[in-house]
Amino acid sequence: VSEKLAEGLSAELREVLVPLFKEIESLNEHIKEYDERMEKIAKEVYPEVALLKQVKAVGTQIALTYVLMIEDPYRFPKSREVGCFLGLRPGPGTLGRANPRRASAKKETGICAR
Amino acid sequence: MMVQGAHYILGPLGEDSDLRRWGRKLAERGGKNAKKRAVAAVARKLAVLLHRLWVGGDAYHAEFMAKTPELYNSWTLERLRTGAEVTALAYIGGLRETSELRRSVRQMFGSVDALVTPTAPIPPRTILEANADPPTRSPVLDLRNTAPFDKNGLSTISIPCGFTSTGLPIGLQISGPPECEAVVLQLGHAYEETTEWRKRRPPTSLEALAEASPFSTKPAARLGGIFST
Repeated sequence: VSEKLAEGLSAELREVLVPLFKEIESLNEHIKEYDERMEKIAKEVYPEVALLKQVKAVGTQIALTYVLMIEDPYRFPKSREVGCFLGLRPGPGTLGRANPRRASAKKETGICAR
Repeated sequence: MMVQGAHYILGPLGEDSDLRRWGRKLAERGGKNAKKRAVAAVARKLAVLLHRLWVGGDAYHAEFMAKTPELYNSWTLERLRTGAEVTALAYIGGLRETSELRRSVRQMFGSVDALVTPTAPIPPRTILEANADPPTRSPVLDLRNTAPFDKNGLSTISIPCGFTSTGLPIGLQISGPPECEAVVLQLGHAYEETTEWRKRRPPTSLEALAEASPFSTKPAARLGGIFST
């Protein structure tokens, strides 16, 4: 692919860009490989991922991260509490007050919230 | 990840949905950080929605429905399958409509203390009729008067208020605003204190029911005879 992309370029540009194209191509292959591995894990180990993927804008990556982060969904008596756990809203009873515990919780769940 | 999903929903590639429209409305309100706030709000909704989907009844029943559908009552199975067809976005829209409806119903209770309605629009079914599969009549009818109060989260009680001509009990439903169980219980208690219906028992066999019917050939066994206080 990188050779094909470099066809129309001048010799000077080709000399600089071809190694970069090759790097990108190799990265794309790695990403594809990881995606396939992730799909396999989601299908075989976490069937709930398929359920969560019903929501548009939620793909395997988001759903799998969510499932791994939440672990046991039944530990939240109300679905709203998930928002607090992920650091997307203040925790119950913390309105207007600093809460060091929340700060640490935010760090823990930062990946999922982001 | 949630914020990433929210960005996609609100962005140019996001498909039209209630969640997107709601998020965009928040962003258009203006003010400092309005867009950031909208993204955070949509991300939060998304996290809550995913949790609801995960712990919802569909997920619980999906496995059993596939393996042993014959163990389900046909009506229950039909309802579960209908529910499974609802898309996640329609579900979000439904949740939002429900909360709006709940708000307006709550406002209505600013001008009235309680609502009194029949518990069911039709007489109750016998155990035989209730166990019939497929049902002899749509169970939706039995729930017509109670379902709106359940869905709106209202404090509701059903108390005995008489019997049909065939001897089946009739319920009186008293509903108040959410979290106002005390008012509803006080009203129910006051009604029971002034009436005797709670002391009467319906017949426990079909024979007794038939005898209690006004069409029975035995005058002494009619409703008044059986249920005289």
